[in-house]
Amino acid sequence: MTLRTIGQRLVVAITVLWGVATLVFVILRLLPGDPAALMLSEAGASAEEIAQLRADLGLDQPLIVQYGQYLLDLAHGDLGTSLYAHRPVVTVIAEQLPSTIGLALAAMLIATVLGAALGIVAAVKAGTWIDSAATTLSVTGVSVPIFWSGLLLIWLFSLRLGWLPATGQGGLDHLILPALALGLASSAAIARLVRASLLDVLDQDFVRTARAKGLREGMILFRHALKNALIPVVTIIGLQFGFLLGGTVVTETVFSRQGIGRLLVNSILWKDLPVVQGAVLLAGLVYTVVNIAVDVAYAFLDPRIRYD
Amino acid sequence: MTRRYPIPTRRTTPRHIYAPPPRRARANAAAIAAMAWLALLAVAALAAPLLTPYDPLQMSPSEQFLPPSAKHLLGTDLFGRDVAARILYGGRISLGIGLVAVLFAALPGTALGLIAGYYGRWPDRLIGWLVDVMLSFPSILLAMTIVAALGPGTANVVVAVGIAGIATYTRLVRGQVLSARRQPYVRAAVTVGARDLRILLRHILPNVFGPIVVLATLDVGWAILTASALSFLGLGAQPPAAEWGAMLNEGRAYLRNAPWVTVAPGMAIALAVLAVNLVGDYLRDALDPRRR
Repeated sequence: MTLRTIGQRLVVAITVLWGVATLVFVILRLLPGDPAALMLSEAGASAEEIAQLRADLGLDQPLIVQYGQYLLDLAHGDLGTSLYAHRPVVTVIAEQLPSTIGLALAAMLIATVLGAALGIVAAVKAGTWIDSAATTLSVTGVSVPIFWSGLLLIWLFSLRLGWLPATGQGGLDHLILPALALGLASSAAIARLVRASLLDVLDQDFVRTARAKGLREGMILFRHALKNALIPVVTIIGLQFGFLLGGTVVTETVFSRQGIGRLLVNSILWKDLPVVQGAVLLAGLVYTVVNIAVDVAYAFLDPRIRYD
Repeated sequence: MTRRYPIPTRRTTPRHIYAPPPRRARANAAAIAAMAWLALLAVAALAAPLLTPYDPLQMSPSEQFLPPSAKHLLGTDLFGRDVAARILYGGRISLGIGLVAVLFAALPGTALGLIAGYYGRWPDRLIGWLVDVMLSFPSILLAMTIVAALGPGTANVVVAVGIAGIATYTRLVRGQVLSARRQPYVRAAVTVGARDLRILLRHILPNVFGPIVVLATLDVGWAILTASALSFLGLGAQPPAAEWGAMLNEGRAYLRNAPWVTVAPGMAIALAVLAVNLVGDYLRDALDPRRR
């Protein structure tokens, strides 16, 4: 992939990001319901207070002016002020970010290692009961809601066995259960793809050649087949990142962890729309950037792929 | 939640929806069991008043947190309500949300895909860009943003999950229509002067219907999971509604002393989604010639 193609992809990504910002604006401003009234509904505010907030947020301006101001603020990295914390949204989000990144990375690690192992075993033992068991396990994995598997993990490892803390923030021991709940769901999808991809590769000529020249099966698998089979897996890991990002919302709530996901849920419940807007924009930004990174990585891993 | 399954691949030859199923698409025992389970769930949800003497909303403080017994098969919750009755009645809400949300996603998504694929040029570019933008969010976050604007509630969750699902249908249908457009039957229809709407609805749609059905089936599972996650977060069905996700949320604070309140609704969601996924996988394999 040349620098020029990467540049072209970046231009497309920027228009998509502009679209993401616009869509968030459209959803939060154009859908029926007055944001100011919604935000103050819990507090039982008077009509004057609602009008005041509307003026403070610029909601009394024509939509096009609001939109222009919104894009201008975004370009300056200004996401507004949290109605609940009375601090800049950027600061509020930045405080929560490390916890979410830690959770997402740990979950990604678990998902990839577990998914790859399960997929490899299923492919190598294709057609046997081991394959069926692994496949059943992965279909079950994609069907179990994270908030339930999370609660079951808490019940078993914290309440029954007392091995790990159930909720809250802290060292590695606090990260294991949430990362496991999130990673398990994701590993199922990765296992399915690794299995299919490895089966495809094991059927190819170069594997037959390797067998014909008498290489041991382990050597064929790890030196020849796996390298090629794992290329498409990079894509699904990119897609899974989006799932993990969405999954952190539920996981952080189940395990009462700090993070962007929990911040988003609380902001929706507290009607703190500036924070909702900021958190969703951040998620869109991260997801888009990860997808571009995956595209680029893909081209480096598989020289046969040419985007230009 | 971002979809965790591959999108059905393009069919190479058109086959009418009323044609008999492919010969080698042998009935798969797991899929049949899954279909039977789904039918059972649907019947049980509809016939709930005949199956349980309990009212899902009737509180009975003296019967708080009773463990499973002959009288209360799945025990009772914080308010002494029968968990089994709540699961049965809750199926109406949870399964209903899944089905209706998928319609909300599939109908506009398919229409946009037909337009983009058939007309090409600027409508295709515009719709394609919109799809890219909508797919730039993890779908649960898109649904949450919509709930943030509309306010929590069952109906709003249906709308939110539906809108969050639109883009996948548009992308799938557009690809299907692009290949169908070049087929002789479409060119023949154009030649005899059929109007665009007729070509799209009478000729192209029936031929791209299979993959849409597969995606819609798998999507029911995704919609049930997403909607119940929103209810679990307090953004969907509100108490005292007997929705499975909301029940889990109510029960989780009492996990130590009354795990049955949490186990039952979680099991209900997982088994329903598992069954839907098995049926969807089966349909995908049956309708995709390359997988046979």
